[in-house]
Amino acid sequence: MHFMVHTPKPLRSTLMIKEFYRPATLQEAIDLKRGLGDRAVWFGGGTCINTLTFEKIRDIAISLENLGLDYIREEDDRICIGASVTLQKILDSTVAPGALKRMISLSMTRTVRNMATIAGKIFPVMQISGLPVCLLAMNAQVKYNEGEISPLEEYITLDVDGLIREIRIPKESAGAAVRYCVQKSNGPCIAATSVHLKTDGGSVVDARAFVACDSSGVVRLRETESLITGDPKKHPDAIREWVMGEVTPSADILGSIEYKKFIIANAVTDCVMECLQGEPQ
Amino acid sequence: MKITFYLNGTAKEIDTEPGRNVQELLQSMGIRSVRKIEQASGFSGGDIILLDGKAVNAGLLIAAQLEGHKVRTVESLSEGGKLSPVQSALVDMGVVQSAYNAPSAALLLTELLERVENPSRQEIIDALSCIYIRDSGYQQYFKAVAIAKERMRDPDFRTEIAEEFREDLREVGKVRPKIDGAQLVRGQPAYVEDRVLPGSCVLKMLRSPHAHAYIKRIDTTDAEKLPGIALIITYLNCPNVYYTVAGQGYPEPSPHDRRMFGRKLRHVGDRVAAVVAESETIACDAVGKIRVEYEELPALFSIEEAEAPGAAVVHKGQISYLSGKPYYEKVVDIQPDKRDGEIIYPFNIGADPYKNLASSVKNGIGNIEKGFSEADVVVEREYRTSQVNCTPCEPHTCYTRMEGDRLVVHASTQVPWHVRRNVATVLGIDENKVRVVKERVGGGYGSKQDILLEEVCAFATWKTGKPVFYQFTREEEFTACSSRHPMNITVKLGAKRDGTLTAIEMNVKANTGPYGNHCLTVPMNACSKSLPLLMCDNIQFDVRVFYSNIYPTGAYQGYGAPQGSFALQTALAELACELGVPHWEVMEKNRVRKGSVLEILKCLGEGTEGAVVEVASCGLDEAIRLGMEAFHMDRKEESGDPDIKIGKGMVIVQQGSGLPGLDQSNARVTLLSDGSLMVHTGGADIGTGLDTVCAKLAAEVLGIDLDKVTVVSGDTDHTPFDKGAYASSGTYFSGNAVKKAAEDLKTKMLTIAADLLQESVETLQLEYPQKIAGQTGSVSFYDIAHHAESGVGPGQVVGFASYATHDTAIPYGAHFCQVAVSRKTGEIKVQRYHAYMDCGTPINPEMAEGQVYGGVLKSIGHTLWEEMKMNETGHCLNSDLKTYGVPMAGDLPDDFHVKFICTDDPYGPFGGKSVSEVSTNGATCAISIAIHDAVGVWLREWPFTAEKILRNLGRVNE
Repeated sequence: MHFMVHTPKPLRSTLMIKEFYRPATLQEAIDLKRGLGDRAVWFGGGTCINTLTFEKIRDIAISLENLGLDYIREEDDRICIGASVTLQKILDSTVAPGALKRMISLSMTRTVRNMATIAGKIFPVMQISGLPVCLLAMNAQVKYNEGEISPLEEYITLDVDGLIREIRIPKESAGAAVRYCVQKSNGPCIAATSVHLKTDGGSVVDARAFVACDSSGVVRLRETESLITGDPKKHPDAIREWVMGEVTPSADILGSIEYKKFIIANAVTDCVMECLQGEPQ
Repeated sequence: MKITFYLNGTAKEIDTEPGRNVQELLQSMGIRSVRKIEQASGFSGGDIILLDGKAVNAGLLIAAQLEGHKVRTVESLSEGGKLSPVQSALVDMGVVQSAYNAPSAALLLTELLERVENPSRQEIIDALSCIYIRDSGYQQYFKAVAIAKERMRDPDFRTEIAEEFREDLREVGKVRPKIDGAQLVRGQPAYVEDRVLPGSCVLKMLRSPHAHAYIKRIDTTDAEKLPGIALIITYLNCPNVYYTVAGQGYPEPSPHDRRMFGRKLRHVGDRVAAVVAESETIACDAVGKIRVEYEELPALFSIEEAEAPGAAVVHKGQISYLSGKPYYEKVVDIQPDKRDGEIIYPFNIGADPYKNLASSVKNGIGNIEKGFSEADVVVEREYRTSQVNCTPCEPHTCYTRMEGDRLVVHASTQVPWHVRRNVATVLGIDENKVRVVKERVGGGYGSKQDILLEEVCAFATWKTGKPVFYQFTREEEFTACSSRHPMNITVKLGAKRDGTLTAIEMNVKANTGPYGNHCLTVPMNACSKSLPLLMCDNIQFDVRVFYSNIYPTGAYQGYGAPQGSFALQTALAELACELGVPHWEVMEKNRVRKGSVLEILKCLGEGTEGAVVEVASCGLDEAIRLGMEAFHMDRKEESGDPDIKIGKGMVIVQQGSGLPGLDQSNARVTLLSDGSLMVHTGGADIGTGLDTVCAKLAAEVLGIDLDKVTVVSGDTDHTPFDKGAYASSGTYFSGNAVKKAAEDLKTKMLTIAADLLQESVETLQLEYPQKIAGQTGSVSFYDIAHHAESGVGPGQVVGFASYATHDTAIPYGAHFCQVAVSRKTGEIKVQRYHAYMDCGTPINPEMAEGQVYGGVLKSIGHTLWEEMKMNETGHCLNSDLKTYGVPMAGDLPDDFHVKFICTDDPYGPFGGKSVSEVSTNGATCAISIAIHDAVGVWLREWPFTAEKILRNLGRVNE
């Protein structure tokens, strides 16, 4: 015997935003955030903040809209994408890496692409996001706050809640293969995978393989990477076995653990073979 | 916060919360076209706007984001009331049907054509990727874009929209814009939510967290203390009336096994309490303050659990019969429990509720044992189907208000007259005190044949005198709404070596869930809409339906036929495989034809005695011939990829056209003073174009242009009785009633004309447009009306008719498909799908095409992806459209084609039969057969997921 007190879900997540700031300079934005602390959230396109799946309750938004971060440009050995560039703008760009474009087109509808920004989609919220998987394989870097720069792989572990200003993709690692596994068009994602291989004289000298297969985030397949780097033959069946041994998906409505391992292994293997054949985008 | 933005070119300054949802904000500013299909998902559309020229979801924006920006809604498209090129193309192509998100589609395609001069198929799919269209599918949008593109250059551009039929007729069989199409594509007020007056109360429901439980105690004290609470309804203060939510005609076959609120809760999401408050916020707060003490009971989810000896009993209430007696020998030692309430059976449906048996029926023709003994080959297979949701774009919605001492119910319903009866019965008032207005319906597909919220809303208004609005959330659409019954169907077939069937045995076990609405008729339909496709002297069926604690079931397009067709037709293909004969040859040897006598139907009446039927029209000969030609069924296709295997499948399908002997429709056609016409029909147009059908039929009979005919429908105060829109009855019953009423009016007009012309009626004939000619001259409709309404005239000229019949008109079809199956990923791609349909004379050809595309796509959905998934406690795990798996534009077959075989059915109006439901019956079996053809495995449980393919291929282990 027990009482159950029912708390209805929030009527609208959007009710949580009580104040909205549009700073005109980066410094103003950073100062605002420092002053407001955890109550404030950086606000790009709003597609995550405005959905019910956003778990953190914050009531002040600091918009990136007027900060001049809406650019995509090449700089020497890298491609720089401003934080408030929408995913559709990346897709329309002639500069953005092909693999990034492919992942975006596979994983999001046009209206969401028109709204969502690259900085806003780096941190997956309650669902699998292909974007960070791809950026991690490309060894992307994050420029944030006053100009600090960190590898994305490191940044996502820092919990700095900083103002992301720019995503930098080294040209040498911009070629990657991606897979976005769904059962149907616009369906929920079973897994997103991306692989970048650095070769030298036909040999793989470095490998970066990433997978997102549940809401816990992106996983780097380090054992698989080292095996790919160490094995000159790279037989697809062997790669599949390695991946199946390394990934640990959970069973849910999209499928069993065995099924997901099989799908992820195939996807990663396909990515590796695509890279080896020199066809990554 | 003050926000300035431009709305459709006009500067607006508003003072609002910065976090206010833009979809709601725009609605509050009178922009009705921006709708909410589900909350802030960005998946289903409905809330599309253009923000600085880019298509975005208003539901994902907050007000502060609008500052300084330009917002365009569909209201900006039709200048001076004239439709834009995109809007007119959508209406002309027949895709503006239930139309809840037609304005969004119009905006998306406008933006596409402004951005891309000649969009490719892939670019059109990309533009439509963010919009969910359930009614007409997406196929006709490609041509609509092409037409719109031409009309942007030449506003008068015309082209062939669809094949037209019946050269002998002027309106019927011809492409005409749906008569409410312009209103809907403009986003003008049309739906229930558009009728809500400021200051109306909002109703929110507290729902059960348990699949099976008693309420031990409920305390609403804290909730009632909140300011703004108008009423809280629980089992303690609701009417003590038992009824069924099924909107079915007399005699009602469904048991009266539910009360507005009960102490017994039978599924997660069952009603616990309703809160009526001055605002949604207050209502939700109050729901959170209701304290409930539950006594949990063991829950049953599968048929096996429900029929097991000693299983928990879902309905342990007092049983009574209004007529007839149970046929079974009742041997139970269970005493009724008052907390379970009552079950009242209008008549015997073979129920034994203390054994969780909700209904049963067993019957057949010939001698089944003899049939199997004569067979050279016998196959027996079991097929399983899972629970599938209707998912209309417009959620279930109701708005009730008082007008004097009368209750007005604005409903999104398929059955206005059953809503009136149900509301009056539950409230204990006379029907003259209730008016039901069926507004435009943004999709029903069967789920709005059930009365799921109207009676609560009505009770709240009746008790408080206040207007009350209630709209299901998308989650409630999954947890509190009727859905397709899960079934386990065993089929046993016997045949001679040459493929001639000697015996068919079909055993259906169905899961009706917590209540018995449609519990007899849907599972029976699994037999009655599949068995008559095959001619066999020895047929037996056994239907047993069980209560359980899954989410509610009920009517869904196809009404049991998709499950039955899947089982029987796949079994036939498996039999052919055993015989080593091509499936289509076995089909051809045994199938129904024009003139076939369907003996089995005498055993399959729905609440009344069945009757033997002789097939009056059947277009299957031509349908199969065309499909065989297009698909080269005996030719094996190769993909060029060793991992991708290609396979083909074909099936035949049927449905009915209403329920002869049970249904009735009435209509009135009035000659107005200037010679134009007003049609009053009780028929419920739920987006299918029934009003347009009725207008065409009246125009055809009376030789008048379509725009001189106005249709008023589905209003219980102003139109005559109609059984409603279900069982594929609209064209056949409501249409025939209008045709008869028009003929009655014609007879009366001829009499008056004879008087005016001083001739006998026999010498007169009706001529287009709007006149009656005799040997000495002619009189116009105006002359007739003018005379009739004068001081010496016979009075206003009104034709009236009632239509009831024992004649049966059966629509048929042959469906062909080609799939590509990946042995590597298990993925199934439907590459080609052709539906060759005999719906008699297609009265609205372009809209009929849309309904076939939509029906097929729905059934591809439940075949491959859609499934309501529950956890071990009975909670739905995928109660949103994306994770549930509805088909989207990107899921279309590459080659998707509908072709009508026009047969002139002797009973249908101008030869018309039904079209929509029959379309949903073919995909599962066609795809199942094609998968076997591709990779050699039989999938016998829908949905056919990639994981099931891989497991059957031995690629993924258990």
